[in-house]
Amino acid sequence: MDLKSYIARRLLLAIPTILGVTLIVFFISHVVPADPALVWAGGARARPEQVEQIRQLYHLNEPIWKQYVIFLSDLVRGDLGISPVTGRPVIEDIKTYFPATLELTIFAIALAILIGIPLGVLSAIKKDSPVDHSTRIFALSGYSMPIFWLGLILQLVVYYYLGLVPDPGGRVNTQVYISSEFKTYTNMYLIDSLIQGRFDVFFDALQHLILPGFTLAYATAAIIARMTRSSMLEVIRQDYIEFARARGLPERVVIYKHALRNAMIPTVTVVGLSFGGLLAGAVLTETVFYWPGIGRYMVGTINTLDFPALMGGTILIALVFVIVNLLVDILYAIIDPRIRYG
Amino acid sequence: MERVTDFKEKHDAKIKEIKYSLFLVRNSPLTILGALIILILILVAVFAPYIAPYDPEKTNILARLKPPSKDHPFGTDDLGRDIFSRVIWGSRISLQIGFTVVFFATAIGTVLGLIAGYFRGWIDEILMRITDMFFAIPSLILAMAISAALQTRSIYTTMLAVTFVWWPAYVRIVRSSVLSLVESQFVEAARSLGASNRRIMFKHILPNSLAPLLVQMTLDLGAVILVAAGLSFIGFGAGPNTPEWGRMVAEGRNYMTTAWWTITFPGLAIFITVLGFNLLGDGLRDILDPRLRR
Amino acid sequence: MDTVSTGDIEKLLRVNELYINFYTYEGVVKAIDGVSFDIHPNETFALVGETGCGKSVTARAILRLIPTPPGKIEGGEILFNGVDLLKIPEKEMLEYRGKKISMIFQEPMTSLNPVFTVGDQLVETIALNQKVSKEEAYNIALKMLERVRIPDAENAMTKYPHEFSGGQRQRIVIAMALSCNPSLLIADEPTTALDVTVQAQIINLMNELQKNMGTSILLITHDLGVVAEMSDRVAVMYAGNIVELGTTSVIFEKRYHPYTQGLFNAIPVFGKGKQTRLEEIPGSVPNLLYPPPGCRFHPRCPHVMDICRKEKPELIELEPGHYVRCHLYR
Repeated sequence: MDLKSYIARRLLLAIPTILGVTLIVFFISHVVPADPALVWAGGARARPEQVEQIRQLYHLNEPIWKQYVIFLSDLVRGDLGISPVTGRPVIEDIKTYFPATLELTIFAIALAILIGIPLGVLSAIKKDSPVDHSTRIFALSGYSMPIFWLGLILQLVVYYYLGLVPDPGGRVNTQVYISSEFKTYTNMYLIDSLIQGRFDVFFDALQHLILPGFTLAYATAAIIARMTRSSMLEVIRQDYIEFARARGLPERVVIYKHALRNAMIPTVTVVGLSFGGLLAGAVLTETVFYWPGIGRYMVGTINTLDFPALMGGTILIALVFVIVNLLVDILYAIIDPRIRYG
Repeated sequence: MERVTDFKEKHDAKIKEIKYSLFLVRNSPLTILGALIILILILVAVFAPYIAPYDPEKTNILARLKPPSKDHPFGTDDLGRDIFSRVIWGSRISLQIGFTVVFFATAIGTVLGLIAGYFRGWIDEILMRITDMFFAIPSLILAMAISAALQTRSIYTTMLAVTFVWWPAYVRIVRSSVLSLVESQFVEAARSLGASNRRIMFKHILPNSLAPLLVQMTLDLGAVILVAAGLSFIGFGAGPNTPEWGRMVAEGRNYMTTAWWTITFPGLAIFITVLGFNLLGDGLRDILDPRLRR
Repeated sequence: MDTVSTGDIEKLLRVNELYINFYTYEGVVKAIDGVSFDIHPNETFALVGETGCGKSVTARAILRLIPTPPGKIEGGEILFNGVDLLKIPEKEMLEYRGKKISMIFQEPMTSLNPVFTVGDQLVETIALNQKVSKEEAYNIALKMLERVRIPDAENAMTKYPHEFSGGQRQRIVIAMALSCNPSLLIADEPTTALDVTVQAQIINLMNELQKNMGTSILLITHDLGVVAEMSDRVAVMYAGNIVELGTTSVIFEKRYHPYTQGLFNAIPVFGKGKQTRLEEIPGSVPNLLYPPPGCRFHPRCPHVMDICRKEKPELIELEPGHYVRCHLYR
């Protein structure tokens, strides 16, 4: 099967999963005892006819299953509805907030790979050495770190005490951003600034990204380091590694070419699987760093019972999850020639 | 004398196994450290009323935001509550949430995993698709939605929400070890002797999938405590005044620049607790993993 | 001290009084207990014995591929053209591995890295070892593949190992090992994992290449049939000791050592008029954590004497160039 039809088939197969996710979240969120229309109309001071109007508009008087059917038929037409809280189409809100999350998570994954893989390799080839033990402690700490607390402690130390980074809160220094004609194409500032050759904005955005990026990356770096270590240990026992040595290849080539490529196969899977955790971490990281991304947006939607926004965000996240797993499987087949798309 | 040698010979393999396990434990100081942390934590939780010097919920506006001192080893928070006492009482909440969630998630997941792996077919297919859906949405966000739907904020809603998102993982683990065991010879043998499905599942298959389950449960105790703390931190967990560690960090956040201790100690408590479970679980995995027993 | 002198014949490799231990959690495994032998240029020398007798460990020690820890070479010399390989730094070892001494392993299915093409692995070996450009290396690789009779060599270069059969993979492995014209090829059970018909092909190929290229072969095997077809001289190993060493014809004919006799009785013999009854050596291979005192074979030996339990026998030269380690021949 060629790549295109493989991707098409996988995306098709993902549709029931995503629908299932919407079903779960829809029913959970809609069984609330509180009256969302009242919240949206502004609470207890709202006029009854205004509340009723909102109720009509969002079909809140219909039975839940019918509300779900209405939601689905809108969804099929590509309509995610209008947020009763922000008054904007949900799709517009997503366009605003999602790039910030994307930038943060991609940066975090890159950082996690840069930290995790070398540490994993090092602790595997120096098994049971002090390096290995320190890596183990580093990794287990990553698994155990409350991400919100790490973010706050980093702010406290790196910003308040040491003054090494700008004020945590937002993605760029607003002065830089507003006072100059900075265009946003992708809404990912690192990319936008590079396109326009605005290195001042680039470095400013990078400085804002470094703490939340590391905060979010730590747990994933830990997972990658542990997985790389254990699969490296497995791989370096294989015959082809011994044969590679016997062929006279220097240790550098044996480890970084022959062993690492094979060790990456399980590691890639684990990175894909840990992506859900990364998104959950993004919710907390964005909250701690006032990062205007989809995670913080979702916290807001849940607090205000903003159903259309909540459903939109849920679909987006499920879709991202599906795409990431697809990418992982494609990457898998690239690394391991024995695997063909099937 | 004769008998002793008999016994020795009969159980030679078993004795060797146990000896080797002990050897591995002794050579793994981090595992021992993890077990020690958990042990101390449980003791602190059980004897909290005797250890904590103050009432964890008693406010004292005159003594607010006091730095650590002899009277208040971890300082006081913005309402003048003793952070040391709150951290001690918080251990009860975290352990309660951890054990409850892992217990129920394991129970649900084990039963469904056994059914899925043993009977296969459509029931397996449906269960797997459902777990797929759960994996496609971050547990924290789903748990947030559930807490919001439940309206009340207490540690019980946290338990319910986290259990609801946690069981699918256990279905997967139990199912996969059932799948590998169903084909094995001793199950074949039991079946040919006419053992019932239920007997085979609970007497033969379950005991043999205990090792990976035990490792996962230990690691998950830490992970659950972490998620629960995260939920509390963003305001979907325990109610006001509860000495829950995540909530304490959230409350201290506004004062952290002038009073570092308000966030430092509760966060450290979460970290060390979860680290304890992870050290123990990670060590157990190495000790129980037959592939590493070479 | 055991000495094995081979007179005036020039020696390519001389292993002298090799001792290797493995440090495990249960204790020290005394895996190699004073092994000595020589390999001459242009000959095939076989190390024969049961699984776990130390033949593979000996072979790996020559290339210093023993994982340390747990393994440790405790003493002895491995002289290759007069240079003690145990004394040179690891960096210099790279000048020997894959260049002057090559090695192939039992499992052709797993000897090649599954994620790189055959061409990539061949070219890499040649380019790194012979310090030639990639293009030159590619040409040498093609020639080697043709030499080991891989059909459509050019196409084969772009394929991955899993696209070849076991026999073809072993040919590729041999091509890789011989690509740099080594003077010694260590072949660790090169045919064990293959089908019988394929075995014969590989044996013929190795014999032919040896003749044409003038490479000496150290053959590690438990298969006396392979020994008969390939080797000039044989050393029989038991529990970390060489118990008998001599030319293949003499060993096959005389079988002085009780263990050698047992080994031969344990295989079916055809074409010798009557079929001999298949015999097993009683007892089992000793646990080398607690090797038996004296002669390591004494617990299983049908001719065991008192002295065997106390004293380790020396290697005795029974005929010129034929050695036996047994108290029966004192």
